[in-house]
Amino acid sequence: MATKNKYDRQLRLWGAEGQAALSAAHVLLIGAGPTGTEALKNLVLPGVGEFTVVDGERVGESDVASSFFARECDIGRPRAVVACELLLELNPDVRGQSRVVSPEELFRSEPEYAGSFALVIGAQLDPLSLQTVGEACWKRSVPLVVARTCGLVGSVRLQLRRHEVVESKPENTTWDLRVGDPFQTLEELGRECAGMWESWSSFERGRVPYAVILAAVAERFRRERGVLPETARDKADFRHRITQLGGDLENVQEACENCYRVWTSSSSLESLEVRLSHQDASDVTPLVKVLRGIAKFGRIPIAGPIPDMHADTSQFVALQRAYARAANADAKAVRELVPSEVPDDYVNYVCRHLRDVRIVATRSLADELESPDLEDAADALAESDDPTKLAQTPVLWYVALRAADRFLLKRKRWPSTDPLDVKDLVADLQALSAGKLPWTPDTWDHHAIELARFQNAELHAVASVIAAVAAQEAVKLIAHMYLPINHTFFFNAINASAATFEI
Amino acid sequence: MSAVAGATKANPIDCLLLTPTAFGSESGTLPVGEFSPGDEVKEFLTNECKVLVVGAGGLGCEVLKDLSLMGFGDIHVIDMDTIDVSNLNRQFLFRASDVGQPKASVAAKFINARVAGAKVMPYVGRVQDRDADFYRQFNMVVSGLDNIEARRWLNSMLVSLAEVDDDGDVDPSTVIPMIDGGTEGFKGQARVIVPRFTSCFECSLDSFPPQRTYPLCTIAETPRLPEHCISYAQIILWPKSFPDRKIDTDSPEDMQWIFDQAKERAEAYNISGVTYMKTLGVVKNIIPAVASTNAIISGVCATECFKIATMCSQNLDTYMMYMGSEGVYTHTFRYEKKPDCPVCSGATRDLAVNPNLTLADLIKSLKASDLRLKAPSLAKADSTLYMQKPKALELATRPNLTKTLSELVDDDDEITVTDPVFSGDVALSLKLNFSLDQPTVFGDDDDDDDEVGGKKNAP
Repeated sequence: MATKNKYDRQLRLWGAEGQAALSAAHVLLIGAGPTGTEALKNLVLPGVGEFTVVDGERVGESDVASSFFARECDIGRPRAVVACELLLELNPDVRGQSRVVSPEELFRSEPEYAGSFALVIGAQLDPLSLQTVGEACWKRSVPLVVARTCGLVGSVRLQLRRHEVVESKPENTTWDLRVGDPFQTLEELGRECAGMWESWSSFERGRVPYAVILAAVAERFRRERGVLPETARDKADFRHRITQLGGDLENVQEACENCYRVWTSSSSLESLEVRLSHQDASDVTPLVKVLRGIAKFGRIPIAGPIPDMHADTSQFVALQRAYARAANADAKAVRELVPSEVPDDYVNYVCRHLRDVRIVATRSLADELESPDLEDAADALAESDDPTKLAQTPVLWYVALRAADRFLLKRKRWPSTDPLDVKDLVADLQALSAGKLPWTPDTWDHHAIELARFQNAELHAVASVIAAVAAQEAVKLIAHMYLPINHTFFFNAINASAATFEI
Repeated sequence: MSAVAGATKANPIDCLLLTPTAFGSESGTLPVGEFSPGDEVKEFLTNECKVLVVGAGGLGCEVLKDLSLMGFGDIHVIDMDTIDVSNLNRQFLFRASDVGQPKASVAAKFINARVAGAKVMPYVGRVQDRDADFYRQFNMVVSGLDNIEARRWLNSMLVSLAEVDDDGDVDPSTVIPMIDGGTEGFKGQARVIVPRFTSCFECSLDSFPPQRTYPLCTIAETPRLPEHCISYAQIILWPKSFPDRKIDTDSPEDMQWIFDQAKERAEAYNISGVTYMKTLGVVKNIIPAVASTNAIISGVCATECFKIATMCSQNLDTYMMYMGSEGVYTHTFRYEKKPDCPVCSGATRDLAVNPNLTLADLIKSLKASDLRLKAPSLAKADSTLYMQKPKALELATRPNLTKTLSELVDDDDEITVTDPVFSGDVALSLKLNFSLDQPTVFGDDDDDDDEVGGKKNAP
């Protein structure tokens, strides 16, 4: 064992900052069944700071059969207490407690309770409790993750009033090279390169990092034409100029592959319009303050880091330092334009990741319930023409589940496979989807019977998938890193298909 | 919710197993049988169905929990590893006090104690050390492995167990489905392999790129990144300083040595960013791993096992990928068979070769080709060309290595290749077509690819 850090494998994803946020967070879990306990398990293992479990039920036979955090010997004990005990065994770094009370009752009498948590997870809540919890969280701007398993289907829903992410960590890093719009040192390096190129040997040419080559050729192009390449022809011409520098050199090849950076590396704030629109937000967070400072600064501050480039060590290191210095200078200038209560480190952090800043806001649960918007989800329906696959489209199951919930509210029980129940359910399905889906299956009755078959049961393996997606979203939200879903993830285990949609 | 909701059954799996459905296995796009609800199918699940879990790591721990709580009564688990501190952030069947113990035994013991009715049987050891008779006893195999090599071998074993008669028909009683999961950070995939019916693991080998390496000249002459300095310490300095000993990547002393050397080199070149953590990452090729992704993929795999065992619903046809860092993106699709898959197609591959190529060079080129072989042994219909093992046979066939192909085989000859990446019963046929347009030597003198696909640390 070469490391003593049990968090090593996850620190490689979210770093010390993400871990610090996680270990400072106090999370509330409502609902200690299989779905809820599995979700919390996936937060306790990576080291959430503290949790509270709220549940009013007692361990029954079905819990023992389908939950890892309820044993035969626990039958009759409060689920919240048992779950808390068994979850705490997983990680000595984590603190936890339980409250044995029905969630509906708790949130009706103490709606402010939600306000004391970094995040709330509602697992397997009945429609009424969910409404109460959803409202309490919305009012206090506490992020809510709703997890729900029903037989072979399930969903994760996020309710976020406003969620800021600085490090969204996109799959493909967008390097900020400024080769078409160079800062002073880069411009000078480019000029030197252009001046010396003819006199250099092939060996010397091969030592220059491609960013310098691009800056040099871009400057000459602009001098001759007055603008950077815009048309396809200009761009081809530009590429040709690069190849002419020596197509057999690795750095020149790299320059050629990265030509597009010349016409896409703008420092103009316009490309950040969406993010900067939040400078008008009513909630003046530190991020909003920095964004306002950047708007005054007038252009995108240089990020700093650069990718590896075939080059001589000293030239590459010098270039790397030049970018870092330019980034520091920009961040310092922005610092002067941001109120002093925002710490320097945070200003630097936002400047460095400005391109990746995202702000996410979802609809409220109440809104969705009142006027579901199936358009986005329905688009996905049109993608397949195979009726077998179409019948399993996740959005159809979303509609079906809503109809079943409506049945549950009305009748205080889950529908059975009895033809009268099925007829009722199908009528609801049709009402919910009429005119809102481009296609409805002629097998609605099969969907209805299937849901009745599921008995709203928490099948462990399906609950485990749903819970893990919920926990992953929770970690992303707590760390303020990576992009959360907006707003519903739906999993259909019948054929292992899933979709994310906004409804 | 149970206070208001249905949940009339004491065990949630009964809802599925005892009630008919319009969406049974037979109604899906990858039917594996016809569902008939009732006690019989439940009896099969809890008493007869024998499932092997391969790997007791991040995926394995989850799969064991999921299967036992889905009613599987006869579970077996195999893993060669012992528990490390860095497993504890996700491998929840292990505690700090278990560090150093075999994963399979500790995991089995935990499940047996926690889940009523569970019976998990552990095996400590390598997948490759078990024979066909061992694998033949299972109804299905679910794998959560951290490396490509063991998955290739397991896949080839299960494909070879599916018997095909002279008409090309597969004997269904010999087909053992393999449900395979893999994760990396927030990404993962789950797939169902029904040997001879669907694509197999080998069909998709191209989608698993070989381990990332840095060009030797960059490492030696123009290092720019901390990774280059670390690789220099590992690849160049270590063998010089310790010619008789390989690096023990689990030894803090060895890793500290690499780190110190890398740091010194980085300082000489003004390169920043060499840390102990990064050194571990590069040398051990560490893949980031989190509890949640493992639980997602394992849950999907275990659900597939349940559906395959009971046929109570449709099946994953055949591949689901999950990407969780930019929102959640998933894609479920049929991974098509590779028409010339060396493992499951049975097809003979044509290979254009220069007759003046030596046998040694042919072997090298096979290792570097898309076949990604490790130590190929070659034979013609009537004689052995080169055998890597046993020692005596290796010595006897070694003189052939320096001979040219024209001395050893005729144009259009078919040769049979076996390799330790595949189980013993898998041999691929190559038809050698002589062509003077092909190179006469195989360049790259890179003999040290023993590490490729070697041990990795996720999930």
